[in-house]
Amino acid sequence: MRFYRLLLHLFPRTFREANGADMARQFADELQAVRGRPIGVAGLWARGVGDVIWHAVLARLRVGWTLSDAPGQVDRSPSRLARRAWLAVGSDLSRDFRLGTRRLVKAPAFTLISVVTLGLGIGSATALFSVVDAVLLRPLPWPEAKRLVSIYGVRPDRAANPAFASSWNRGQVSWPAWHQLRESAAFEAVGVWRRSRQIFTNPGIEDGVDVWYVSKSFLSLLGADEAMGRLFNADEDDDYVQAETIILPHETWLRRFGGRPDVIGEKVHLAYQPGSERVASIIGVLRADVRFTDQPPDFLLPIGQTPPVSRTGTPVVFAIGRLAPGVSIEAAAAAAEPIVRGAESPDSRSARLVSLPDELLGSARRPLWVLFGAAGILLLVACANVAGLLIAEARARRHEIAVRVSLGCGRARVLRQLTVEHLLLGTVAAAAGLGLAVWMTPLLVAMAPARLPGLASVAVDLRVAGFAMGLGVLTVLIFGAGPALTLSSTRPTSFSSDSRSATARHPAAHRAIVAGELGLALILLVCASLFGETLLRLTSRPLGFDPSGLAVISVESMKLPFEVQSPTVEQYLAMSRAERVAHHDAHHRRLQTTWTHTAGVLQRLNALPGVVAAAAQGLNLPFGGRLSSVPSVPLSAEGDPSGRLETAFNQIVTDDYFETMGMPIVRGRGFASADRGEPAAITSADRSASTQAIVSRELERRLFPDGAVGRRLVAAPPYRSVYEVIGVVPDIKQRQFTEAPRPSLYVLDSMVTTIHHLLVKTAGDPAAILPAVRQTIRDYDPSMIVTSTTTMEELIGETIAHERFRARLSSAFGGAALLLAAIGIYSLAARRVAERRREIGVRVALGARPIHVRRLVLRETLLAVTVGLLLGIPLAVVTSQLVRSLLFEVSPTSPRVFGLAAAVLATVALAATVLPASRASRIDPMLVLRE
Amino acid sequence: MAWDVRHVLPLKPLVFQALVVLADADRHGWSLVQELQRRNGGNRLLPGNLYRLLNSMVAEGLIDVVEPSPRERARAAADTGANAERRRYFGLTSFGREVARAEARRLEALVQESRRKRLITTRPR
Repeated sequence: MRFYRLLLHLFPRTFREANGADMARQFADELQAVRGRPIGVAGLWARGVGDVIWHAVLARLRVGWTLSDAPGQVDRSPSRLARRAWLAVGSDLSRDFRLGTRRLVKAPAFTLISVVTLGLGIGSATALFSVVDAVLLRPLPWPEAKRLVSIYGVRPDRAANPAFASSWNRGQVSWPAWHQLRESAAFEAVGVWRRSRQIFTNPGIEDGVDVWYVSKSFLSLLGADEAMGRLFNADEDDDYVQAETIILPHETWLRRFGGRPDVIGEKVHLAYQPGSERVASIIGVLRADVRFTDQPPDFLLPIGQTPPVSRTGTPVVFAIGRLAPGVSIEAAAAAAEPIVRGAESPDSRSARLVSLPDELLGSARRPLWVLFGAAGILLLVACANVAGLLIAEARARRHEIAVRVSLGCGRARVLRQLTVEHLLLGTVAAAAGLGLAVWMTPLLVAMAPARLPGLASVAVDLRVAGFAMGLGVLTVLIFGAGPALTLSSTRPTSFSSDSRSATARHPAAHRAIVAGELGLALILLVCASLFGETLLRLTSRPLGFDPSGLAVISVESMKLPFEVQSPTVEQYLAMSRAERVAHHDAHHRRLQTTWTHTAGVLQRLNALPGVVAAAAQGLNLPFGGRLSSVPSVPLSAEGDPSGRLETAFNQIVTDDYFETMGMPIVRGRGFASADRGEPAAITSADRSASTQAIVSRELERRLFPDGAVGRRLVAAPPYRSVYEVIGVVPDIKQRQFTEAPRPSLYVLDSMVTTIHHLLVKTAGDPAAILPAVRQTIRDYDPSMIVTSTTTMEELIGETIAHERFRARLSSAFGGAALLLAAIGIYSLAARRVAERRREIGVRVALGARPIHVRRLVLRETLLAVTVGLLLGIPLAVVTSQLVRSLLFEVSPTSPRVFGLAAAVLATVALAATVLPASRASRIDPMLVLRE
Repeated sequence: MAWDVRHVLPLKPLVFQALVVLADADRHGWSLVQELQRRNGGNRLLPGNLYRLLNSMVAEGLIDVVEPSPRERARAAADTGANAERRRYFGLTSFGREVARAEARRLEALVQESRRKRLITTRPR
């Protein structure tokens, strides 16, 4: 219906405003009447679109509905006369339109192929344009977005640490630094934010939510306005005690509060860890058009909630700022450097400023333009196809036009007639393309990597529809101009059979166009196979575990059967021995409760039908990368004189973890429940007591080149734990397919108080079991809140979203181009066979065998293919250089890729010629010569 | 509108039918279309065509956009579902009624003549 409403824009505005709503409603009623009958629906759409186009044209020409059959009724009022003048021109044009329509209807094959071809090209280009338009062309949705910068505190010393691989150069700045940055003349304004994953615990609803703590200035930098209530004020930036206020983004207001107008003053219960529940009252709701710099938060709290202890020197906030007018980003970075570094702090942090538009769009720009370019090439292929068809059509119509010219039809009249015909074709094709785009755009958005900014606002709007219509009309007019001009200059003398065969001998233009089309198709095929190969290379790297059938459930325990009071490392070191023992005792009692608790949940999950294995894990979920840094521990081999330290991921798992993850034990053995040990082993502060651990191959390679099983690992101070290696497991990818293997240390969940992720291996579709899993967890322990559920394959998919998007889209384009090229080749060959009937007849009469005739036709295709490849290969080489940075482990000029693309193209082209060739070989010379 | 009724006759059949349908009750576009199709069969008028026709008829002063009576509204709502309320209703103008009457008389005269000349024999039921 949206498409129909768009189509109604063809009507003059006054007409549309008066009748549009009623018309759309009536059409909806008509659709309702044929619901459930696909053919009826298709027919109704076809008639409905035709009806709108036709009557819109008439309405625009001000041709009224003739109500009466009365002869010679004349009204002499000026408006009526003007209308009659219009009518005269209009009826001339409308005759052209009728004629054109009739011609298009009479040549259904030509019309259908042209409309489908052009529609495909226009549709893809339009759908891509709607994305490019929303993401790249429209300015970012913030005031003065060009002057916005992210201000990071960078820790170069951490660059080499795998635990900080993705975060070392995107660090936070400290609270005092924020205050000083605010005063700096280099910035007009500086806003800060920090995010936290919390649990929304309003009665009856329990869910994991993203909470952002933001400063007043942060909201004003984003140009955020309230739809209701108020925003934070300056007091709430600083006042820790008073700040019990919360702001709802529009989406949250709609989704969680039903868009009720009376939410102001309502209470929101949030907790970031068990026992930490707080209540804040809603003071405002943001407007729907507020856009955030990242995935939007669910709730906004004032930055003043940051505990006073964090406000001294520790970096706690992310900062963005708007440069003062005329200040360059380099100058601002220089001004920010001493502030971010901090006078007292020993912390070696330096400032890094990144322009916000560059940061958000930088990596998206080139791929999107590349894809848009690909859509453009596809459109060109489609245009070439239609141009070829029009040329062939023109050759076939010389006769008809010559008759008309000899009967006194002027050149202008012929030209106008042809132009109107082409316009009609273009409009219908554009409408088809627009329909395709309306259908394709949501698919594109669903397929696109979710983090593209502006993706939410992608829509086929008037601007995009205008683009499609313009494309359709322009392409047909441009590519129809040649044939139309040639045809309109037809002389009456060409109305003879001699010249008919004479023109047929010069199909060079058609052949050249088809060759060009093949060349363009080759470019798309090469791109498609380059991107496809990239995706293949990426995903064929071993993960080290088996993600199939693996469901991932993130949980948060809201209630623990005891008070948690973990000392900091410093506090721990300051304890007396007796205090430590007491602490360990308490800790152990706690652990015992939690792991029996976890074991209970796992046992119930294991009992679900379809579940093969279940395990739980602490924070370091592979591909669960929400954390900016991951728990890691520096380790050395016990007794290693060099004291070489390796930082390893600290993986906290349950007994069946390796079985659930599908990780084979390479050497040694896996965990057994006995490994949890007797309480005394952990409770005693005895340093020699060790914990059983399993290491990854990489850790073994780095610390124990001659085998790790049976050896002991020592954690560097302040941790000091000792681990006994009982087994070795393969390296697994933690974040992405391209990463190098990183050392990991696996220990049983006896070292944590809570688990964070449950992993369930299923025999069937893991997504199908999620509801049952949720229910099981709720039944087992209502205070254990499921904050998110997903599957491992989905998590992995997110990391290759860009590559997959490119590969899918470019192969769709490549496939479409191949299809169009096949149509082009087929129509060339078929047309040529039809034109050369006489010649072929003569040849057969003179003794040519069917194989010779077939060869004759195939030779022509081969010629076109050869020229096309000669043309396309250099172009494809240039194009592949442009996409070089998007490739992985594939050379942009890989002979395999080029060879494959060329072979596919040639095969398809020859296959498309088989039918016309065999038809040619069956030409009966007796019939032909008698014609 | 200073129109002589005679200038508009004979009406196109569809226009006359529309006037007849509207003679006893104001209707909205969809109900008009359904009624016309019930009488004539065939495909229904599609929106583009229908509203251009209605526009022309309004411009010529034959019909006008009217406020429907509550009874009409209720009937229409029962006919075609919940949306009937928001549609525009069309009704005859006095000029339209006059034109329809004149056309009917013209046709009646034709029918009588045909009967006199034994083209048709049966009395209308």
